[in-house]
Amino acid sequence: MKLSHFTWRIVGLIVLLGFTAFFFVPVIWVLLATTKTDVQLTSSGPFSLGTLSHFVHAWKALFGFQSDAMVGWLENSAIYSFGGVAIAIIAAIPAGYGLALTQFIGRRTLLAITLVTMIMPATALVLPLFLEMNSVNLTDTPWAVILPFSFFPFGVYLCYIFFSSTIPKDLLSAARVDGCNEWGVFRYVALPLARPVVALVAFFAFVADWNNYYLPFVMIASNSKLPVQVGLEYLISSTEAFNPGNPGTGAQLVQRPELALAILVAIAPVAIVFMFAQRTLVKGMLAGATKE
Amino acid sequence: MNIYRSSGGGNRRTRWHRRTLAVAACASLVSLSIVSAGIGATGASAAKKPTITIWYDTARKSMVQAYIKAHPKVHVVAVLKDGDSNGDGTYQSAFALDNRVGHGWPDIYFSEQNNDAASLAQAPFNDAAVLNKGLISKSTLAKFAHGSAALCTIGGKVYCLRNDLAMNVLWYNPTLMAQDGITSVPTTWQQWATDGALAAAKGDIIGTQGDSWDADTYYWGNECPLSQETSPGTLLINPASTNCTAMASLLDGVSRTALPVAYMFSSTFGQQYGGKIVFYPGASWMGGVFPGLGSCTSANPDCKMAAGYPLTFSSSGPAVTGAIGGGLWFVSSHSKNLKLAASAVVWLDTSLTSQNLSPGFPAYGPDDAPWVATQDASGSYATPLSGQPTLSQAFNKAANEIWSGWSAVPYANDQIWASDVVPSLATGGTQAAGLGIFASDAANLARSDGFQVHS
Repeated sequence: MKLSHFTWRIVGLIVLLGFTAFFFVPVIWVLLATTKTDVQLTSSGPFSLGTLSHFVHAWKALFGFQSDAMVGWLENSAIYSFGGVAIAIIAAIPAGYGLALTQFIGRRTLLAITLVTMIMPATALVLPLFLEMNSVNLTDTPWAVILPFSFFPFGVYLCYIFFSSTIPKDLLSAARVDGCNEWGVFRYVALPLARPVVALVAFFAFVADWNNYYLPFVMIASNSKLPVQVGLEYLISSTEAFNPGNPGTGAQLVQRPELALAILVAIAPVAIVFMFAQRTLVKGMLAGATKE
Repeated sequence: MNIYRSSGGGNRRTRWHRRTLAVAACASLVSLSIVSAGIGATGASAAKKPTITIWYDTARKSMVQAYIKAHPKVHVVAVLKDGDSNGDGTYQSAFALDNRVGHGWPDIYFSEQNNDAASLAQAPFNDAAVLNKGLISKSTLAKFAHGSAALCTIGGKVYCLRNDLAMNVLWYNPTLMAQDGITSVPTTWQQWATDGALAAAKGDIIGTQGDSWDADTYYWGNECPLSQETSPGTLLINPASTNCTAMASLLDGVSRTALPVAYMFSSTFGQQYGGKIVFYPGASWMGGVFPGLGSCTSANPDCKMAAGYPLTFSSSGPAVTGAIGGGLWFVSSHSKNLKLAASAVVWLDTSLTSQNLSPGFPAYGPDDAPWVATQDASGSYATPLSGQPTLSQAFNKAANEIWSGWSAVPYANDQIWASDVVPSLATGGTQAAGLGIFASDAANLARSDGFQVHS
C-alpha cells in the first residue's frame, strides 16, 4: 500500500514534534526549576510552575554566593572571550585571505597544518600550552587564557573558504589595474565584502571561548580571575545534592534551583549574541553556496 | 583611486568597516588595559607580611575568614576550590602541574576527599607534609578523637588533620517508632533488622541500600576488611571474612520494602520516603538533612530524628562504627613557611572560634561539647526517648568508635560501590554478590596503584 502525500506529511510532523519535545523538555525543566524551592523541585511535578518569589530568592542567593563571585566570573569570562575573539579576528581574516587569494611558497603546507590543528581536540593542547605559558611567566594571568583563545584555526579555514569561493578574482584584478596595491586590495575590496564571515568567525570564536572550561581551569589559579564555566563547577560542589558527603554545603544557600539559574545566566550571553547576529550568521554560512 | 568611495554602497561599507575597526580596537584596548592592571591585584602592603595561601571549599569559608580576622599580621591568599570533592581529582591535577613547573602549590588546603592522604602523600604528587615529626606537637595530636587519624596515617606518619568527623550513629524517629509499634531503640543490627518487618508493614523504612556510602555504613561498621592496610603497601581485601558475610546475610534478610535500594539525594527520594524514615544508620551530619526531605518540612516535628548509639553486630560484637565524609586539613610540603602553615592548620582545626563555625562534628575533642550544644539549640533534632543518649552522648561515643581498620587508599571505595555494586543491587542482586563485585574491582585498582593485595 502506498502512503499518500498527506500521510507522509503527518508522519513527518509527528517526528519533528517528537524531536522538538526531546530537545525542549530539558530546557523547559531548567527554566521552571528556577521558580521552585529545592524541596518543590524534588516533590512537585517536573513541569509545575513555582512562584516569582522563589525565582527572586534563587537570584539573590546565586549572586550572593561567595560575596558576589558570580558577577566576577561573568566579567572575567567576558574579558577572556572578547579579548580572544578580537585577536582571533585580527589574525584569522588576513590569514584566510592570504591562503585563498595569494600565492607563496608553503601555502599548501600551511593550509594542511591549519586543517590538522583544526581537527585536533583543544584539550590535547592544554598541557603543552600550560608549560609554554609558564615558561614566559604568564600562568595565572588573563593572557594565559586570551592568547590560546586567539589561536582559532577554524576561523582561518572559514575565511579561506569564503575568500576562495565568494570573491571573484577578476574583481581583485580590476582593483589592481585601477592602482590598488596588495594592501589596498585587501583593505578596500576584500575586507568590506567579508562582513558575513567576520560575524561568523566572531560568533564561533565567542561560543568556543565562552564555553571553554579546561583551559582556564588549568591556567588560572586565583579565584578573582576565574571564568563562569569554572565557577559553575564550584557551585556544583557547593550544592548538597551533588556533594552530600560534605556537611554544611546546604547552609551555603546554593541549592538545585540556584544551580539551574546559574546555568541560564551562564548561557545567556551566547543566546543574546546569537539572537542579534542571526541574520548575519545565515548570510555568512550561505556565502559561496551559489554562483550567479 | 578608491573604487568604493565612488558609490553610496561603498561609503556605507567603508563606514561599517571603520566602525568595526574602531570597536575592535576599543575592545582590545579595554581588555588589554584591564589585563595589564591585573584582576584582583593585591595591595603593596601585603608584601611586607608573611604570606600563606589557603585552598578552601565553600563550607570552610567562614573558618578561613575567622583566621584572617584573628591574624592581622599574616597576609592570607584565600582561594576557593571544590575541596577535591567526589573524587574528581582537582588537587591531583593541580599538583601534577605545579610539580612540573616548580611553583603554584598552596601552603595549606582543605580536602573533602577522605582518601586524599593516600594519594597526595605519595608519588607522583608528594605534596602532603608529615605532621607528627615536629610540625605539630604530640600533645595536640593526642586530643583528636580516637581513630580519627587513621585515614591520615601511612606507615606511622600523619599527613593530615581531621577537621570534622562524620561518624555513623543510629538515627531514629520517635514518632514513627510509636506509630509502627516499635517499643525500643535497637542496639544491635539484628534488632534493627527485626524491626524492619514492623516498619515495612506500615510502609516505613529502616535505612537504604543503594547509596555510594553503603560500604562505609554496613561493612566499615562491622570491622569487615575490605580496605585494610596491614603493613605499608599491603592491603587486605577479604569479602569472605565472617564480619563481611554475616553483615551481607543480615542485610539480604531484610525486606526491600524496609531497606529499599534508593539514593537519599536523588530527585525522587524525598517524595517517596520523606516522613517514612523510622531508622537510618548514617553519618552525624544527616540529622539536619532528614527534616528537609520531600514531604517533610523543617516545621514538621514528625520528620525530626534523634541520635542513638551506633549499632553493634550482636550484644558481644565489636563496638565500632564507620564514617561518611568529614574533611581533612593538609600542610603542603612545598610551603616556604612550614611553621606558619602548620600553625594555621592547628588554629583552623582546634580553636573554638574556628570549630564553632564548622558544619561537622569537630575531630578535636575539646571543641566537641560547645559545638554539640549549638546543634542541640538549633531545634533540628527530635527529643531523645527516655533512657536514650543525648545528642552529645551519642556523638561522643560514636566519634571514639570509628574503626581504624578501614584504611585510606588512593582510589575511591565509594565510587566502586556506586558504579559497580549499586547497579547490581538495583537489578535484584544481593549484598553477598555485591561484596564479591566490590572486592574484585577494589583489588584490581589496588594492584594498579602498587599494592600487594591479599585476602
